[in-house]
Amino acid sequence: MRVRGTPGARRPRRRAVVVIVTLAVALPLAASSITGAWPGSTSAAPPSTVAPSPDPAPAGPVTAEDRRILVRAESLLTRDCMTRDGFQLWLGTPPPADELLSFPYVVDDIAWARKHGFGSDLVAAVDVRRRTDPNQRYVSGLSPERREAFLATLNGARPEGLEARLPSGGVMRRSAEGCTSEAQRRLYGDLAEWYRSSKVVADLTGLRQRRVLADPAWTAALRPWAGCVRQRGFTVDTPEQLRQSVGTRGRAGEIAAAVAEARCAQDGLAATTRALDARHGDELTAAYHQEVAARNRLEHGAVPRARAVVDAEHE
Amino acid sequence: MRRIHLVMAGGAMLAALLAGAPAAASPAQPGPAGSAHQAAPADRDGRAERVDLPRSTPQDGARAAAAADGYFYAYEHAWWGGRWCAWAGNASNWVNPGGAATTGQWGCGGDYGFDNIATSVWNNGVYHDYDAVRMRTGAFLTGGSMCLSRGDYWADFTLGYQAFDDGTPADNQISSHYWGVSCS
Repeated sequence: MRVRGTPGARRPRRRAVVVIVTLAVALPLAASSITGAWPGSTSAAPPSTVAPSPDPAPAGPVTAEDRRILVRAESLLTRDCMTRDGFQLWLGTPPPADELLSFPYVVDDIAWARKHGFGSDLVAAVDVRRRTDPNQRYVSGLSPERREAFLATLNGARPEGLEARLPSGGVMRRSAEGCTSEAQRRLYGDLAEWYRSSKVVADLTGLRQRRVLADPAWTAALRPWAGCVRQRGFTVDTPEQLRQSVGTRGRAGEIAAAVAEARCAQDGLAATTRALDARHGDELTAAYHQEVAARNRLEHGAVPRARAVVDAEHE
Repeated sequence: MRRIHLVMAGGAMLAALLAGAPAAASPAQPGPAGSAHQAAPADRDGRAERVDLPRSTPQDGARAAAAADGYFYAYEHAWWGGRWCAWAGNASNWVNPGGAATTGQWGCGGDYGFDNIATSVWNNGVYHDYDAVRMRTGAFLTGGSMCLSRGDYWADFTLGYQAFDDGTPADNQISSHYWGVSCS
């Protein structure tokens, strides 16, 4: 302000204009380079270009038992890392089987529907368990400074370093630092590749569901199902509409609707859905076979290390 | 006298040209700076209006957010900018996203809605059996769904790539969330 009116005063303003003009040019360029890079990194390339060379090690995913060991080992390594930095961590127990079931298309398990409706009780139960979890209580009891330090030690001080371009679209990112990353690096070796491939594979689940819900066979199978639930007093066209309609009906209403949904699904919708889910799952696995193979290879490689970690804990 | 008048007229023209120069430069301002551009008139009128500009770096957001008492974060703008909410628990309706362990800017957690606002999200949760957060397009756990594991974030939904599992584009569409076992 003091130099206003002197020749020197004009210089900063000119510089500001230069910066703005540079941004005006650079931003669209940056945007176009991102969009330009996009198709090549996802849907356009995978199946056609790489298909001819057969996979030398066509290993499937690890077994459920091996996965349990991987999860356990990661927990133990994370806890050791946090303890080393002066924090406490309690290991949990696997959730009940009922909570692991999800019905992304239609509830087709009548017994489950009788017990849980659309599952709002399970969401509430998880919420209660979260609040009473020793880790949550421990962190809530820390001072704001210590809490910040805890989260930085666990999740990384800066949320940068790992990146996965998802088949469904966006870019998912995470810190490459912190105890979670350290534990995963020790188990899987190549953390960046494991993050990328495991996030891509996990994302296929959502993509598969989107394809099933857009499949003409699904739409066709909905018609008789909708007729069936109408006879039971629910005037809706889709399971999603049925869920929305019970929002204010309370627990009994939710269960009645879910049971009707599951009963009517037995007449064909459930079978059609299972078949579509399997078919689109196979197609996506083939389309992203490189990422699927990379994830499987890294997990198979990690199992012996994980077993050693778990065995050491038992001794 | 005439000469003086001519000089004065010339000076006036020069002044007009100089005054016009900044105005001529303004159309060159890039579109993405739109929010900053809109803030300018208020400044010129001399009003001390508070204008929220997106945060410039992720680090700024990380520091501010980590200091708060919440663990799943949703932000109005890309890269953790603008208004925000943070939850340690569930929120079944972001029209009124309050509840236990909710915090955020400007009293988020009372009568302050965040429905269909989020453009970036971050799960900075505590280690847990239930540290994955599931977001839905509808309130009360209905509609399309997306999931973030602990530590993961989406920085910019406006790019238009990220979508819910029913195909709904992610930007400004989250209406509820809850914590669950895992994203896979």
